[in-house]
This record gives sequence, structure tokens and C-alpha cells, in this order.
Amino acid sequence: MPAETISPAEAQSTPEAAGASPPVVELRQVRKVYPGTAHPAVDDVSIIINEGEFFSILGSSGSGKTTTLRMIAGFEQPTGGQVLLSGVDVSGVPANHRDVNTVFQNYALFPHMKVRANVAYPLKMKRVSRAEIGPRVQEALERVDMASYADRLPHQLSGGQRQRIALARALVGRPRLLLLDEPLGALDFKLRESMLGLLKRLQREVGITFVYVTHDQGEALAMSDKVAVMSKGRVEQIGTPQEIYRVPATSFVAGFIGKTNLLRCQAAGPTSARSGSMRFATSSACSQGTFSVSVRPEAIVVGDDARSCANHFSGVVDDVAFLGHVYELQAVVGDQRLTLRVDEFNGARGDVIDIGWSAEATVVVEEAGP
Amino acid sequence: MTAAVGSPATSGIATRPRTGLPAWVGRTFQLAPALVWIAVLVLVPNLFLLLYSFWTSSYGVVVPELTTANYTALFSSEVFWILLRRTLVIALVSAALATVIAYAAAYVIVRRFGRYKLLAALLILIPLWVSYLMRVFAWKIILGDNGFLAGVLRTLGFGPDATSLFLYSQTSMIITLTYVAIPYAFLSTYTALERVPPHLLEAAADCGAGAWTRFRTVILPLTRPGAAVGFAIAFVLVFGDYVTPAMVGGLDGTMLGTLVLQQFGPGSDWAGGSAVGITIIATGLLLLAVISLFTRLEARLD
Repeated sequence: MPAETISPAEAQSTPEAAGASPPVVELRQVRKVYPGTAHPAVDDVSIIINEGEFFSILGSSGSGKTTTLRMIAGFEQPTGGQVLLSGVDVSGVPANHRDVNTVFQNYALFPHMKVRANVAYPLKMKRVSRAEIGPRVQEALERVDMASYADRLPHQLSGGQRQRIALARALVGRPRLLLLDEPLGALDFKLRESMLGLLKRLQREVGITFVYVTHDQGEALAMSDKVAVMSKGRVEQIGTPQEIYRVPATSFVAGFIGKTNLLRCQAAGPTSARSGSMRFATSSACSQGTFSVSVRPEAIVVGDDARSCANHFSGVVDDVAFLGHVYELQAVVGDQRLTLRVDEFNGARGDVIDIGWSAEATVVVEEAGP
Repeated sequence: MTAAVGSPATSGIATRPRTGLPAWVGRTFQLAPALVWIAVLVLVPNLFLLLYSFWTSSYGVVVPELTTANYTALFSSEVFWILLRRTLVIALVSAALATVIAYAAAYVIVRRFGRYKLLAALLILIPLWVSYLMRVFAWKIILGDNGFLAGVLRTLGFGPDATSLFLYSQTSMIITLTYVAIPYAFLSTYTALERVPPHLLEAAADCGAGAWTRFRTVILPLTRPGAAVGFAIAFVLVFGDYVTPAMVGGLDGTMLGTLVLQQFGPGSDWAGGSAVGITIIATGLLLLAVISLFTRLEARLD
């Protein structure tokens, strides 16, 4: 029933968002407990996703990211909290009455329909006139470079091709919001690269808000305007890819996004900390008691550059690995073992080298969760 | 590889030397049990039936003289055509009813029973553990003059006319045969419904399809072949039946199967009975051929 679909025109703005248009998606303290399970799959999740954003939900399996997506889509109802689409509380509104489309990990193409019929399906449901359906299906197929496959059946297509058709089917109805549930999970590396490019191009062209669920931090960083990192049903941090990477809020985020050196420390001053025999300046105020700092391997410099750094130590090279674009070293400083990445390295295992990094690169992070 | 390691012609992985019998001997040997089974229990008896239908019976003894007299007599008999039409109607109606009921039951079980669906499916199939005769006899009791239905009508104040409504009629035949056919139709409809991936229904809902549209555009097209197979099994089962007509059919409920029984039994006309049997088989095969046109599923479920 198209009349009940949540469309932008009907969207009522919430009092606090009066004036500005409400966010496309707003989750307020959303909680989901599956029957028969002790721990909530999603716990106290609050997320705001704005118009036109490419928003990623990043987490390992079991982090609650897919459940969060399914609650936005309407496949699951939250146990607590609210899901708002364009400012309207959609509690109890089934998936078929939401102006949201989903790209499933396993494609979920209708096996008995040709590609053309699959892509036309959402338009038929919206009772778009027959004369309009043809050109719009054609246009959607051209967008994903699949126009010449319109008369195939899904089982006659490869995984990457099926995923393109699934994308076309999700976009053809011009939803306000597109949900992507690990859409590249089943594809091999090469295909994944080209699909990533396609996704980003599509999002730019159609301007639809994308919510992208993935466990691949590389994908999330490369594609997103904003990333929410989830772990054990909770949101650990929401921010731009740069914020998430450079200023991780918790040690979980620091460890999950890229490689890092996590050092357990005690406060040794307002902006200095002590870890074993090492003492160093930090980027922000140190909390009381024990905490961790994160130092990215590529933020560490060696040799003469290191001597001018705020944090300067001397270490013994324990291992050297050539990764192609960089060298990755393992160095032992006191009782700590550090990973560092440098462009050039001519030494060998056992060499004593100068190691240093700036105060800004020493990010204080909270301990993850209880 | 050095030359020391065997001669190149025999050491390659792809050229492992083959010894012994040619491949087809092994294949045939593996297939042998199935082939013997089909030959002894399917092919030979039916060939005999076919042969008998072209021989003649003389005073209860089959004489090996080729003739089409059995068929000419059969097709020119008015009774045969009445029985054929009636048998077709009863079989089609009860097979259709059984398929619809089995489909509905399977749908509810697959979609609503969750972890208990296997148990529920088992309950539907349990009547098959009871002898066929017993099941039909149970309906004779339910439908009979002193049966459950008549009893209900009697307490409601209906006279003796109403109480003899059920038994020995085409209605009683259809009720009983529908009941008998349900578990068989259920098996294939249940399997078909079970194989519809739930994520397809989510995808359909995601595209804006309501519950009925999801059923019409996704579930039904994907399960139609399974339902057609269920219908075919039910039809074949019912079409040649002679036990039910004998027990609840009465005169109005006589079917072709009854005719076969009479020809082979009291009539002592084995040749004539074979002709009827062949006609039943031929009609069944014809219907199966028509149904198979609807059972082809282009799609592959993955």
C-alpha cells in the first residue's frame, strides 16, 4: 500500500529537529534481545545517519551489526528503544511499508524470474505504470553495467553479476535509504575491488543514503563518510574514518581498525604516562589509574628523525619483514615489543636503533567494555 | 624431475595405467540391482498384462491368440465409458482436494511451527502406519447410517433420509479418497515449501510486497512443481483404487478398479481385466505427461 509508505513528504520532524530536516535514520537506545538468549544482540545503540551519507557499521561477526541493519529494514522489531526513519517512529511498521531497500549478502534474487522481472519487481509493487517500468529497469541495469543480461535467469549469472542485479533491484525504486548487508562478503578479492568502485560511484550519482554493514575495516575506511564500530551489541565509537583511525576511543577500536601498538600505562603527569620502563608524552590528558595508549606503527620513525621526537627511545630490532611498500619491524624497547613501519630500512636483526614518535601520535584510549 | 624416477610415459599423474575390464562393465555391475528390480517387478508384469489384454479368455482360461476383441468390447460398452468418466471425476476431484489440503497444512507447518515442524509433519504422515483397509473402514463407520455424521444429524432432528446421505455415494468416495491421498500429496508439497529460502520472502517484503503478494509471486511459483507432483501421486493412487469403492462406494461409487477386480475375480475374464488395467495405466500415464509440463522449474534454488 504505497499510501502508508514513509515518504519524505509525510515525514514529520521531531520537536528537537524542528527547522532542519530530520536525519534519514535515527536509532534511539535501541535494544534487541532474541527470545531464548541471555545477552542482547544489540544493546543501547543510538545512531544518527544524515541525508546522503555513506554510513558504515563495522564489527566482527556477532557484534550486532546485521541485527541493527535488520531493525532499520523492518525484518526485526526492537525489544526496546526507537527506530525513526525521516523523523517518524516506525515501530511496528513492516518492511514492505518502509521506503528502504536492502542488498542482501546472498543476493536473494528471485530464482524463477529473469533479471528484468527481478529488477521490475519493486516497481510493480509500487504500482508504477507499465510504460514507465520498462525504461526505469533499463536505466537501473545500465547503471550497474548489466543491460545485456536482462533476459538471463539468476542461476545463469556469476556471483558478481548477481550482486549487481541485486543492487539494480534495490536502487530502481529510488528509495531514500539503501541498506547493504555485507554485499561483497561472498565475492573474491578482485571482484570486490571493482564492486567497491561501483558502489561508491553509484552513491555519488544517485545521492541516496547508504548504510553499509561490513566486517572489513579496509572497506569501511575507504568508502564511508562515517563509521560506527560495534562490538558485543554496543557501539564503541562513531566518527569519520580519520577520527576512528587516528583517535580511537577504546582499545577495541584501536585494535580492530588497522594494526596498532597498545601499551598499558599509568598516569605519570597531566599529559604523560608510564609503561614499564618507558615514559612518554600523550596527546590528551591521562585518566587516573590504568589505561592504554595506542601508537600506530606508521607513526613511529627511526634513526635521526627519532631523536627530535617528543617520545624517543632506543630499541633492538627483533624482526624485519618486507611488505612491498614498507618494511615492518618488530623492535624491543625495555620490556615492550613494538611494531613499526618505515619506508626504508637497511639494518638487520639485532641492530640497536633510535625509535621515536610524537605526542599527538600517542592516543589515550579507554578500556573496551566491561 | 630427473630421468632416474621411472620412465616418463608411465610415471605421469594423468596417465595412471588402467588394467582390467572396460569401464562399462563396472558401471553395469553397479546398476545391476536396480536394473534387476525394475525388470522383474515393473517391466515383466506389465508386459504380461499388456500381452494378456491382447489374448482371449475362454471359460476362465487365457488362450494365447492375438486379438483386439477385448478393447473393442470394452470401448463399445456404455458401462465402461460411464465408469471411466466417473473414475476420472472422482480421482481428479479427490486428488485436487487432497493437494489443496496438504498444501495448506504444509504451508502452515513450514511457516508457523518453527522447531516443531518435523514433529507436525510426522503427525500428518502417521495414518500411513495404519493399514489401508482400516483407514477406509474407519470412514465407513464415520459416514455410515449409525455413524458419527448421521448421529449428529439425528440429534439435530433430521429424519432417516438425512442419515443415509453419506455412505455409498460419490460424495463418500471423494471424502474417503481425499483423506487417503492427503499424506502422499503432503510429502511432496512439504518438501517444496521447505525448500523456499526465507531470505527470498524478506527480499520480496523489502521490495514492498505484502503477505498475499509474497505468496502469489514467490512461494507459489517456486512450489507449483512440488504441488503438481503431489497431485500426480494422489491421482495415480486414487485412480486405480478398488478397496474404497468396495467399502464405501456402493453402486454409485463403482470405479474402474472395481471392474478390474470383477473381471479377474468373479468374471474369470483375465484378458478382459487386463484390457481394463492397461486402459487405467494408459490414462494415468497420459495425465502424468500433461502434469509434467507444469512441473518443470527453470529456476535453481540455491
